[in-house]
Amino acid sequence: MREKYLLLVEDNPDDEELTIVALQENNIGNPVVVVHDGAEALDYLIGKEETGKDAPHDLPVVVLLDLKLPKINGLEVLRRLRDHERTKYLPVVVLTSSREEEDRIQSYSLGANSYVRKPVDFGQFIEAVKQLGLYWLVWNEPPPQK
Amino acid sequence: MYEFCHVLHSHFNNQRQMSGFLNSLRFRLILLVFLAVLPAVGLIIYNGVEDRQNARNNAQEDALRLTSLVSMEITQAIQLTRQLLLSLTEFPAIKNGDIQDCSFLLESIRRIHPFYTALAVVDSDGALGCSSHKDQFGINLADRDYVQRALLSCDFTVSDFLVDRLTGKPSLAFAQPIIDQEQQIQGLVVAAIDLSSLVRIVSEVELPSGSAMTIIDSKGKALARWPDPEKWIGHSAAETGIGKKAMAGTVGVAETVGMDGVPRLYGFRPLMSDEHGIGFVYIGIPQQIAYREANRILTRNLIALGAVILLGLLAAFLFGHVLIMRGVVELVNTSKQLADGNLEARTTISSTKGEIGELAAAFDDMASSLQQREKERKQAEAEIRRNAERSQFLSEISDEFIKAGLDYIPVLSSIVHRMVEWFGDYCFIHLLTDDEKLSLASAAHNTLTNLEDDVQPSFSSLSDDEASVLHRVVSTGNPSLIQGTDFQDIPVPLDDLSCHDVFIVPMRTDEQVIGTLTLIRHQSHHALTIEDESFLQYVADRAAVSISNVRLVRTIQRMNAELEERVRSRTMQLSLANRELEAFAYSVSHDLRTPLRAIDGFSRILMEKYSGLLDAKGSDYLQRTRAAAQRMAELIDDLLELSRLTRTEMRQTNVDLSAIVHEFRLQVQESQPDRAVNFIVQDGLVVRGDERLLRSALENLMGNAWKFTGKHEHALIEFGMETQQGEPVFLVRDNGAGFDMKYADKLFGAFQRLHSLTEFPGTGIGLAIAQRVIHRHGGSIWAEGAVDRGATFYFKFPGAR
Repeated sequence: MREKYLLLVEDNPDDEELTIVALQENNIGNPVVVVHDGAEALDYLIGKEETGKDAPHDLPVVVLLDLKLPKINGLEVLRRLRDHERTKYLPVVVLTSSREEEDRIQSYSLGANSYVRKPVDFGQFIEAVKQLGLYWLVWNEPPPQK
Repeated sequence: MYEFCHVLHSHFNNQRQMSGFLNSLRFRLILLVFLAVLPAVGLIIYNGVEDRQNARNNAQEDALRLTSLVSMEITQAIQLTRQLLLSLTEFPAIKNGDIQDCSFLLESIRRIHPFYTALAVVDSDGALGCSSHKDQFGINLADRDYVQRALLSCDFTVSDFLVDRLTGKPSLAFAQPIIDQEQQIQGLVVAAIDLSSLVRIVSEVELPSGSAMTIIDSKGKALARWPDPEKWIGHSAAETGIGKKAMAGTVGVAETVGMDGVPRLYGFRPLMSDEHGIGFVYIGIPQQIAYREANRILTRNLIALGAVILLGLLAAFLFGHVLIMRGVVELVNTSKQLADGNLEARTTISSTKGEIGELAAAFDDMASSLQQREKERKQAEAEIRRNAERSQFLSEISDEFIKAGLDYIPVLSSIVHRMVEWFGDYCFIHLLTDDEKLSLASAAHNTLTNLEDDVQPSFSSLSDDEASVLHRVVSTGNPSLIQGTDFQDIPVPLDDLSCHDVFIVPMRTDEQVIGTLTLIRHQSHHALTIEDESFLQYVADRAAVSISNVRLVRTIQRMNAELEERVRSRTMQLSLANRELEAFAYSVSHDLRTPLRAIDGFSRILMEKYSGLLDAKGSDYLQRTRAAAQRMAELIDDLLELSRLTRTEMRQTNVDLSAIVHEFRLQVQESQPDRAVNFIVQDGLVVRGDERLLRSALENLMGNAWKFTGKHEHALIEFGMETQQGEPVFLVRDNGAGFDMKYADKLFGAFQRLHSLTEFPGTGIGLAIAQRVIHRHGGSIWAEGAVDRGATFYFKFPGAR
């Protein structure tokens, strides 16, 4: 049995820390893998382009994807994930500070499973992360993996 | 139909000719001649009548004289007969009554005097005794009138017409009583003469030819007639005109008819013998014969007179033609020429020639005045025609300008060509260029073609000297008409063309002179006059206005193009800025919030996990840090909202403002059920606009009202519409904290606040949002209020109508 884990794509170390604190606060003990830019995220999920091989590890139960990322931004990451056979159905939750309408439309049209705005209020933030963790780790049935 | 008319026409023609002749001078002249000879005719006829009268008298006298001759002859014959018979009575053979002897005697006498056709003796009873015809017996003459008269009167008697019983011939008988010794009538001796013998007697009288002599007895029967005795003897003339006259018993003359019905001039008298009437004689000379001479003279005189009249007429005709008719004919011919349209025609008669001359002079005056009037009429007609042509000309060039659109050069060419065709020989148009030079725009000559190509190079730009006349017209704005032959000043493009008149008119618009129109005529016979000025000026001005309009349109088009270009460039810049703004907003949305979350998050972690390390003040500061972060997050959100309102595209739909207000009311009342706020909302206020934007504006305004009435126990919030200066104006009114009107202009500034945060929370962006929305709808928003007296926000926009 593979261990269920989360992939957090977040370039801001503050948000990374706060997210992890929030998960801990909510007693979510599943491992959290953190990548810090879009390219890294794609490498991790799909595999390095130059090797041409799939990533050697299992997919996470959910990807928490920020949109504003160095190198390759979040929407592009999402598009490539959806283009790839391996990650076509991978649950992706857009977790971002933006509330821009354009971002939401694009995210959903590219196949995001959810769109969550990071509240500035930390209490709300903890609550949001808790809900997300519980839902995706506990209640959601992931798509079958090949 | 034509034939009928023709007939009618010729009929009238004939009638006219007839009445024309009757009215003609010549006819009157002839009439005058006739009148002149009328007395002569009268005199001749009078003379003729006189002559006839004389002829009649003469004839009648002749006839009467002849009757007297006849009467004498007859009377003489009867006297002889009486003497013979009287002598016979004395013969014994007669008296004795011896028949043998008696008969012998009578027989002998008859033979001696063959004049007597029969001689006889009758007794007193009328019975025939002896006679010259001894074989005749038993004859009784008692019934004979003359016998009875002789027996009664015992005297000689003459019979009337009778047929002798012895001879059986028409005869005249005589009776002489035989008186015996006792003075008793023993018998009668009777003799008869053949009437032809009587005729022989009278025929010896020489009668005028054609005359007739007639002897009638007392009863009117013809005893003798010459000529044609056989035809008339024995016929009664008692009932004829002359018979009646003659039988009256007098001597006289008469003009009447006899038995043959021929009118004659008669002389008549009774035939008498010893107081005894025997009969009557009358002689008639035929009128024809009697009047022959008189008639001949009359005829001769009349013929002579007729000849004289003819001569007179001829003279009148000829001399009349010379003396009168020639003048009249001259007048007539001249008037015909006039009627035929030759108004130059005049009579050649000297006015000193009496009445005809005066008439001719008057006629010539009349012709002159007619010519003058005709000339004036033609001038007037020409004027009207010219005006019509000019109107048409103007109308056509107007049309051409309209059709030409923005290219007026072909129209100018058309104008100059028409000008030379209609009004002059040579026409050209100069237009002022931007540098105030005159440039030839178009030229036309009535015989030279392709003129523009010829003159363009040499004439397209005039030196100041050359163009001085044109420039003077341009600078003064007054037309210039130059007449005569000295045109050294005129810049004629082709030198070898002579000019007689040159007319230069300025081409004026309301504001300025834009060029000149020059019209030249080579000959003087249709010289340009000052009357042409107004027309030329009109044409020039019309052209000028059109050119000016075209130029204006071109300018506007150029400006439009520039404007469009500018708009395009601005739009590009704007969209660029917009994109930058979007990028900025995106960045703000992301990057400005992220640190805030970190501030808030770590502050909270500090408070929760490291609270033991901090005193109360430290905790308070951490709390303030978190509040500030929170507030900054709100500011960022509002700022993004404001930015979005500016950038997002508007979608026009029908928006129910009242419904939005109601939704807001329900929402706030639910979230703050403890507040008692009285809402007055006017229903059914629907406008045209972007629903999301209008909702945002209204929610902000209502939110303000809700917020600023928060400290009032009897809060009142009103939404409605009223009409100000004919326009619908919406209002949101509250009875809350209000504001000082001196800050009214600051109300709508972004992040402008009139109250402290502790008094009323908020970012100060709401009214800026509301204003932005109303502005984007093309409207305006303003506020009225007073501190603690509430505030009223008004807004209006075109979609509200």
